[in-house]
Amino acid sequence: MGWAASSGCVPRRRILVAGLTEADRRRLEVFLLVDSDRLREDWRIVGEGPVDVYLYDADEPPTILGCVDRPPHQVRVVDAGRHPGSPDLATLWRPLQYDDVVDILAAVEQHTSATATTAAAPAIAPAAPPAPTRFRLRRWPGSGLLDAIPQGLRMASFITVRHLSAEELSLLSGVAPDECHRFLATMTANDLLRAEPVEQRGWGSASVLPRATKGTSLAGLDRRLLASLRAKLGIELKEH
Amino acid sequence: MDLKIVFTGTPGAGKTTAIAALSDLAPIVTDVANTDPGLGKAVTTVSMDYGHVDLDEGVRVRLFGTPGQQRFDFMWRILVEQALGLVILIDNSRPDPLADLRVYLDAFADLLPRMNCVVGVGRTLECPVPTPDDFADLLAERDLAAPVLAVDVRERRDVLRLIDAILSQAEAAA
Repeated sequence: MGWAASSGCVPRRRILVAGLTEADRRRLEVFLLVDSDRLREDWRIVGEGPVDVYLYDADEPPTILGCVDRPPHQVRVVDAGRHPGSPDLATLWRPLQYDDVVDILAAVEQHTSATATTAAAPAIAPAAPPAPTRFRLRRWPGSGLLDAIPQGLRMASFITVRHLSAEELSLLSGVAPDECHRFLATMTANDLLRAEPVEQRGWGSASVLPRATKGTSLAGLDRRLLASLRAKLGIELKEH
Repeated sequence: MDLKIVFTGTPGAGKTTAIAALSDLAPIVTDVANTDPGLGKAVTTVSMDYGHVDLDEGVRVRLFGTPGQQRFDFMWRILVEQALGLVILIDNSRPDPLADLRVYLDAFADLLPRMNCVVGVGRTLECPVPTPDDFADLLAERDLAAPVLAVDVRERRDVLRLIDAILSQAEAAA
């Protein structure tokens, strides 16, 4: 969910997974860290019910004794190519794709009452704002992946040298925040990112971006000089 | 405060051409007749190439091309000191381009984790293997995520893509 909308009391939504691989689970966790603007509520993976969404990999939803009697929304995870049709609100394809997961969570938000869910969940602590997350590339993406993303080369280059949140990436690159979110989600879906939580003080402003650990010999470098070099060479920086 | 961008890479990879695509003046080239039959080119750079871009702020961005041959590797490190970024150009038509990249990764091993760097792979149309992904894998083995771009340095826009990547890294680090 968007950080700007998260400063108040935010309903917390719960996802239970069963039979998923460790890679599935890790990917899902990072999707939730991406902080989509399409989600209004705080989603997290839990180890027991009651839950809002139940993701499973089996012919029938496994029963977890004492935990889940009737999960509100069940989603089967299948291997792409081994099942006909396409992903929908009841089926997710491997490898899990960010947009597919967000589609499901957004639909659940729309169709169920957040208040009822919160009330049904026993002994849940008051919701804290979700921690923004910064990302850094651990491997350069394949050219086929980047070529399909406008400004992909530039956005990827920014996160080769340091961890950045989607908002920070937007401030630096001049690319719209939504596109940066989508870009990071795509990189996440391809298992190309490392993530780290953000200290919330001062987060989200280019003027308070912590200095990177690299490039210390050029620590005093003025971004205006770099912009000037871009202009001189005719390298356009997209504004939004 | 002057800035410096360094182009390194195997002989014939296009360092001189890349500098010429950017420089305000015709590059100062120190090519000489090649007597090494293994290099496959008539002239080769034995010292370095130089060009520059002057900015309105009175800042000069110096562009250096390193000597290609590994026997001049002592020059590589001298040139790369305090550089804004390093462009490694690989000629994919050579016998073992991945081994070529390893030479530069070894030479700059201690610097690369702290240095803005991009790898440009040339002649990929004629020689598509190894792919840019193969080069990215090699970098990832060393915990590096430097951009890897297929380029034709005769095309200025391709050279600008390399510089764009370096500048993005520098902006993130500034």
